[in-house]
Amino acid sequence: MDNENFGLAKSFSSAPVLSISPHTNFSQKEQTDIEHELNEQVGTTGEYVSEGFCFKLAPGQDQIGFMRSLKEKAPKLTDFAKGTTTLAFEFQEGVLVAVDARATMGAFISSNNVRKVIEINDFLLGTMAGGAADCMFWEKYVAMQCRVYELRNGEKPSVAMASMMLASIMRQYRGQGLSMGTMFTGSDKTGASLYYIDNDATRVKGRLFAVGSGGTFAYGVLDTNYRYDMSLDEAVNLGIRAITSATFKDSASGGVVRIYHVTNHGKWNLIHDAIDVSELHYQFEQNKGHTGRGNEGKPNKYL
Amino acid sequence: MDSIFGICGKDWVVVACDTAVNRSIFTLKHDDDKILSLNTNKVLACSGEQTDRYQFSNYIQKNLELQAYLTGHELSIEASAQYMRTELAKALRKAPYQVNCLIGGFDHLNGEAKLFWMDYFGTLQQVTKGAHGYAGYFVNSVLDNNYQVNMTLEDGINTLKKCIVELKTRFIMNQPTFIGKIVTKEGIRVINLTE
Repeated sequence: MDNENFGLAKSFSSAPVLSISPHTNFSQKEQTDIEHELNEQVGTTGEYVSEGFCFKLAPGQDQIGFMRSLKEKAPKLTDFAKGTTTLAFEFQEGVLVAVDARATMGAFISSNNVRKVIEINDFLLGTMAGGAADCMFWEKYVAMQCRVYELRNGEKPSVAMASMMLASIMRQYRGQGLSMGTMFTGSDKTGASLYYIDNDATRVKGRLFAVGSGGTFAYGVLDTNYRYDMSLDEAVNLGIRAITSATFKDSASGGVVRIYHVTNHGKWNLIHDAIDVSELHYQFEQNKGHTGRGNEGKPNKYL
Repeated sequence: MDSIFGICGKDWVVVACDTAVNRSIFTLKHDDDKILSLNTNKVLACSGEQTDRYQFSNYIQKNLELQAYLTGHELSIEASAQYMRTELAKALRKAPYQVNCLIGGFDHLNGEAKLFWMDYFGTLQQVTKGAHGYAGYFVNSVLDNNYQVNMTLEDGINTLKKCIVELKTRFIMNQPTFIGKIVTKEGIRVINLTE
């Protein structure tokens, strides 16, 4: 009963204003500042206020309801066209992360040289699928939180804890339009570990994940060739192979392959920064004795 | 789409669960244990979205543990179930947990085993056998037909195995592995139900 409406209603009574509602200041109330009011409204929802800063949310109380009706009324505004192939798997020497590098805007390839592995800090890596901004922003936010934890407690947070930070943020903003599918990996005292986190706040620990539109194709190659006791070289080759195959079949993935290796000793290494997938494709096909144009075993009708 | 089901005898209760975590058209994980051991004589099996399941079951577990620390007494099976119902009903009109649960346990006070069925609206019912989700359409009849008063633990396990066979022959979802947890006087035992 401490809000401003209470004060206004009672202002018709003859009692002095301050004794009824000491927090109400009428002289300020008259100069209505829309921006200020909006901020206040957002502030009252309470649970959405993050430590240190706050986003401007849709005006009103029911954020999730607002997003739902927005999706109905303007589907194009909220459904981002996105496509990607990212994969990561655990093996005996740590975790291997492999990603493609294509960014699309509908049918238009806007870039073939995107960095889809986010270097969170010197022991954490995150991959980027879904909304680039959401992935990048929240993973950097986790980096900040990790640093704060380190300064407060004198030791680095575990990967389990850092991934939980990200999952908790996703839970807090669930249904409000965030778009993120990330494989969160890192190396701590217990060695390297791998988590999958997405905008539904799903967080699962696992050995092998592939995320994005090309993920099904990557899974196909990975599941048939994966062994836990692979050497680093074998793992790197498998990663390259899976991404190349996925980019061949999935038009929304392509560009170059980037490979990262998370060691079991608290750090990660960049292994391959940019291998052109189209060159790899011809290389792999020529190793099989094919041309790479995909016309093997087909009738030569039009030539 | 998770399959969870359970059966309860006089002094034993078995709860079974598939181990897949699915999202869109993927199976993200093949070996997820969806049955949480709350303490040495209580299990909580949850189906639903991974995040809600994790959040709810861990919240309950930690609070029951706190309660035990504060009072020096473990809550009975029914009291724990009622507590879970209250928490679920409290959350229902704010940010509902989309979890359907089976709560099984052995009461040391009177030497009885109990099984509770609860859906995400907070419907709580003590049952002798129960199932959730699509699995219920296939499994409930098998449970009904095989249940007997005073049946033994072996009969109970065999019944659950029959349920799994039925799911594997008729259910469209790919659920290759099932895990089961048996609660008796001796405590909780894990069994692999897919041999």
